[in-house]
Amino acid sequence: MNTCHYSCQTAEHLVNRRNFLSTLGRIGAGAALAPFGPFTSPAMAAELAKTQRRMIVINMAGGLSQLESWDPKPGTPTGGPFRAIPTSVPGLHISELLPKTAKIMHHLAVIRGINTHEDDHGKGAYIMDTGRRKTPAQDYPVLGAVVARALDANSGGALPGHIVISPGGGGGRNADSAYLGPKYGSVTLGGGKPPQYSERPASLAEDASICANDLRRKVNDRFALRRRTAQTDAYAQSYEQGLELMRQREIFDITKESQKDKERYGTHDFGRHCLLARRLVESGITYVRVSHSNYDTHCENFNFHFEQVGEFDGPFSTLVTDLHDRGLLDHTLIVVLSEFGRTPNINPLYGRDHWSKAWSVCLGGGGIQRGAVVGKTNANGTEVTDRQVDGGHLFHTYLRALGVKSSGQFDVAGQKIPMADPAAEAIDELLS
Amino acid sequence: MTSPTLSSPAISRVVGIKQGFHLALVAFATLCATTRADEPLNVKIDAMLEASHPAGQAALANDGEFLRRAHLALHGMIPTAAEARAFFADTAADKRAKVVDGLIADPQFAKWLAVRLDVMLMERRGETHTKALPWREWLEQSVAANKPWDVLVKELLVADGADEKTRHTGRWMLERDCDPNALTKDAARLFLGRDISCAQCHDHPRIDDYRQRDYAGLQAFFSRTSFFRPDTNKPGVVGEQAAGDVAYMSVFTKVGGETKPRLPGGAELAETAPGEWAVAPDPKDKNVRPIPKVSRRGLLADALPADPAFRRNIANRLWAIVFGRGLVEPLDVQHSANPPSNPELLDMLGAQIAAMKFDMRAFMRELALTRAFQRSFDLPELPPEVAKAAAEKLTAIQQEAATLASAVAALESDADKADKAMIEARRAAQPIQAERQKQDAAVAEAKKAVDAAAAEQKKSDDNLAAKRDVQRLLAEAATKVGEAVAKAGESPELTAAAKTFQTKAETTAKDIPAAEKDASSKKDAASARSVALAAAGPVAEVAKAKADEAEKGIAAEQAAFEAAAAKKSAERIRAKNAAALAVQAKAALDWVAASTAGRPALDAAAKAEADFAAAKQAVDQVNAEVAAAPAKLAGLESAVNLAMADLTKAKEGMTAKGPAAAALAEAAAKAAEAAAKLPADAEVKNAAAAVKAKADGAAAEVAAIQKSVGEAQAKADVSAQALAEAKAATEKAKADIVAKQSQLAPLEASAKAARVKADEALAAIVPAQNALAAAWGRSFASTDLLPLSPEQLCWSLMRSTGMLDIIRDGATKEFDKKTPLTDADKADPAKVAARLAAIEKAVRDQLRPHEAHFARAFGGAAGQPQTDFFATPEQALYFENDGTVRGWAGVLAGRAAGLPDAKASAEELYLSLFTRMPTASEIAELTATIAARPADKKNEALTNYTWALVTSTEFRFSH
Repeated sequence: MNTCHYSCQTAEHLVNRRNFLSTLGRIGAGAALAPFGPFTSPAMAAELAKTQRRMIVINMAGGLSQLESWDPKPGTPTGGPFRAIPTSVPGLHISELLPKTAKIMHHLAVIRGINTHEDDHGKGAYIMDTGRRKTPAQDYPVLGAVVARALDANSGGALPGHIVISPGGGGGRNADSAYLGPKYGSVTLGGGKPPQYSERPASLAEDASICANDLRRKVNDRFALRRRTAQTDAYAQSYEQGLELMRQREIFDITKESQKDKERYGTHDFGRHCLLARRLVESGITYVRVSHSNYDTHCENFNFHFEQVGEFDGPFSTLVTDLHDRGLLDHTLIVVLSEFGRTPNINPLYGRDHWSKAWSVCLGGGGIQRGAVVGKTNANGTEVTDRQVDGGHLFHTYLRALGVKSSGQFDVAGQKIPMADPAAEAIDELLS
Repeated sequence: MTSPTLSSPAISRVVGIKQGFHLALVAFATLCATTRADEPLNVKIDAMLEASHPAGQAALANDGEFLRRAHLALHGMIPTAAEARAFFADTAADKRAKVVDGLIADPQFAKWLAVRLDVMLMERRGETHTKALPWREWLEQSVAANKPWDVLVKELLVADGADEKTRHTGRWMLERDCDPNALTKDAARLFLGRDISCAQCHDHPRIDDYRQRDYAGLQAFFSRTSFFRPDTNKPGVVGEQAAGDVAYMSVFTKVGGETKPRLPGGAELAETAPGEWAVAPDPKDKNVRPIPKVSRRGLLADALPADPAFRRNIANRLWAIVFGRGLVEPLDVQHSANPPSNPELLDMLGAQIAAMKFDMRAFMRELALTRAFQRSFDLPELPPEVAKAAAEKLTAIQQEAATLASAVAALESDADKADKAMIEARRAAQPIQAERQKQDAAVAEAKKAVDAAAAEQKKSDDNLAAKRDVQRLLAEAATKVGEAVAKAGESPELTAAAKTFQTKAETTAKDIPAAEKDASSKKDAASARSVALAAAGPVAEVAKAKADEAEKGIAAEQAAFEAAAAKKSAERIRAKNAAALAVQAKAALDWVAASTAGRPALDAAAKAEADFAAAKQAVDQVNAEVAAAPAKLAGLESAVNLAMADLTKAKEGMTAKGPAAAALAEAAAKAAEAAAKLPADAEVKNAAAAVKAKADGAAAEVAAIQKSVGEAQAKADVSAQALAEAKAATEKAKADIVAKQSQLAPLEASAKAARVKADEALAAIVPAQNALAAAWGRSFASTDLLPLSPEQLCWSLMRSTGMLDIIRDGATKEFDKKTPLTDADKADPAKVAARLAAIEKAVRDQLRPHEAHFARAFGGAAGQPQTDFFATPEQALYFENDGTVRGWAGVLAGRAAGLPDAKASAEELYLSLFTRMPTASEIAELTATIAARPADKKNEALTNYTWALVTSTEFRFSH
């Protein structure tokens, strides 16, 4: 439970760097209440795979160094000690810290010309989350809310469409969907645990709950004879959804995964969370966000990237491979992003600082031109020299890759609001 | 919808126009004319509303519904069972008005209104720069002190947050980072009822009433404001500059202008004291916060109360607090294409609240006293004559709406043309204005050059004069020294001095021509500059005249546009209103049609279901009889056996005693004969008497036995007959049941078929009901079901279950244990009040985490509108699996469990949670729920039942 000391100590980073505590024991209590939900059967998953788009975002919190990942510059003053290695895409090299990912690059693409003009953690993250710059006058919904709403999956169902797996605690629905309303707000799975309150407490007997809910339905039915509205229906229905969520709780329970898979992904938080992400998209969840922390390496950048990127490489490549093997990758957009990159300049503490001027994002799967590299930086990585893009372009690109017309609008209480920043557009050459 | 509509030629052509709907208009128009100034506001409101409903309105709600609604509207929580009982028992005619007055006088009113104002003004923003609690308390004190709304707004707007003691008043601006656009947007939304944020960069693309010029004018009140925080170790405050104006340009048309502060639709305010400081910036000390002499936010605060939009906005928002929805919805989207459901009413209310000096308490009291506030949410069965009248009216109403709509289309086109002309005028003026600016700049440049040349000339002249002066003095000195030598005689020193002066004077004199030449050239240069300036002046004058002309042209186009837009907006409001009335009339008609058409099916289903239920009951009864028959027959058989046994026994007695009695009787007869022959023989007489007595005894015994034999016989006969009858009946029942059972199936089938038809009818009725409910709800002809706000839900739960009392009792005990009042203290009103305040504070401290939880779970996100309803599985799971609410339900269940019977328990639950008595079937349901559990689980059964009530729609929604 050590606080990360090499980071810049802003509020965003005062979180546990890594939590080695096994949460398996904490999850164990959620015994099966009912058979698997409808989406957990392989046949259903396959059926869904044909029609439903979904998205996994891996947030490299703190700011992943592009030089120690997707845009290495070996042998230059800014390049640092690590080599670049060839990948499964001819001509494409990435950092040697990603040997497993290098083997699956033919499923992925790299955007190397990102300039977001924002070196503050919170504001940078806001740009990457919403595709727009933060203004006091208007709040925008985050990517997960936009995707959940645009694909409108599970909108009337029990399962949330927008999941954030958090290495820390927390739970419940978050207020990150702005004008799209709480329906599309993220539901946090704190520590990778199932949603808050989804487990019946030991003090409440199941028959008492059944009895109470039967009575609730009768009381509602009587009132409905006098007046029924869309709102009263939605309210009555929310309890049925809650009960359904309890029945489908196993979707969120990775202890149900095989021991072999658990070992393949690793027992650390990030590995378990990637496995949970796989389980969730297989179960029909639209959007899942996983975090890996902490890349805010103001000192000892190379040691920490060696350790962190190394930890990322295995579970990430396993996840991509599994999605591909299960026929899900064609319909699942997967994005590895940060709030910004890190300075080409190496500071006296062997660290790299905040850098939004020329950095990279890796993405792949559904809707993406696999193996593509878009954008270039100069020899030292200090400037974008070709196809410069910002957060708005990325946001449009994600939506387009998901089959959503990103220039479209949401109808919010009769008001038409653009889904993505109208001043930006998708990176067409990246779309398949 | 006032009288001019009636005289419209297009309308007067409509046949039947004088009937129905327009009678309402006439009535309304008449009413407006005759409404007396001294009538209470609530009477005026009802008169206007009732005159405007084309197809009637719902009846008044019953006592329970009224009481619940009044408590929710004015206290933010439902009444207790005790309050409900007291109100039901009250027979006073004015008891509803008394409740309203009582609620408004109670401190809870201020607490609740403070919550509503807080949520409205802050939209659940966090605590980045300020604390929420002192702000909330300040609002509560403001409401308690009956601070007028305009004063409250002024305090918000002029706050600077610099004084720690009153920093909370700056929360409205500080939590918006004092960002001029954020403040402009929210001032427009919260104080003027219009969200013009889309007009920041251009005229609103879809709402043509929202203009960029209006945005810029409003922004000019805030454009000098910024977040002032020179020292990041100290809290930031609100800063303001003394100068700076707003220029705007549409990103679409590339045409714009400049503006002084101006309320939307109003005139630009004159600038007073531009650039003047009350506290000037200190270049040496960045920590000194400059304060302008005149604050533009202060100007806004002073200008707002006179603005009709400001008046309508607060009237509408307070209306929404009382009624659950505004006359315009959304509250911040007032414009002519989204007019109030009753525009005249909102105008009147705006004028009235201003006349009431923005007294929120008095205004809300009037609203709560209206009949409109008491309308039931049940839609009445409209009688056929209403349907007929509505049908007759409908065509006329629809036609009028169509006519008005086409008139509006023409006006829209006019306004559009005027808008384009205005844009063209502005565009045409752009080069002229640029030329003027250029010429003005040239004049300024020339003037600067003149000033510079004049300065140069003066410098040169001064130099020349100085040189001449020196030369003169030196020459004079030389002369004087020469004279002195002449008079005083030669001395080497004096001679040398004279020479020195002489030489210096000559040297100086040599410089003078150059200086003279320089002065002359500088003079020439200055004259040239003056000439240039003189030449530039007229050019600039011409440019200015042209520009002024263009400005006049723009102003004229602007005025033409404003006039066209105003005309269009006014007419559009009428058209929209007519369309809304048409919808309302149509909805009423559809409701009548659907309920009339559906009624037979519903009745048939009810009858078929009743028939089936009766038949089923009969079959069940017979079944029960047949089932019970073996036991019954067994009972009867054993009775027969018993009777036969008795009979046998009695007969045996007869056999035993009969012969002896007969012999004794014979002996007695013979003895009597003997005694008769010997009358004097006493011995014989005595012996005969003894025999007779014996014989009589035996005879009596035999008679008794004989009687019991008869009785036993009768009993045996009856039992046997009963048995025979029972056997026959059972046989008959067995035979019947086959027949009855065979009847049951068709009855059930027809009940099911009737139910299918009834459901089909309901499928038509429910949408019709909802359509009418929506139309009536919108126009306050009935009441909508509306979700409780997070605070209403939390407070209502805690109060109705008794949790609040438990907390208060605990806080009271805690206080009295720690700091008990002495008898002397108890006589001191200040100490008594302090004790109550301390207890109240402790209660609130304990409530706050629960309020915060409900706000997070059931409220909107920070900075987002807080009126959207949503129901998520997470909310339901909180009620389902978090122990808190179930624990509260347990408190109420415990109270109900202590009552003598299920009926009393049911009454306590339903009065506490639904403010009504339970129906017979609800009492039966609770009885069955308790009976289904073992006796020691009664509390659990009651808790389940209570939980079901608190999670029901009837609890979640106000009605």
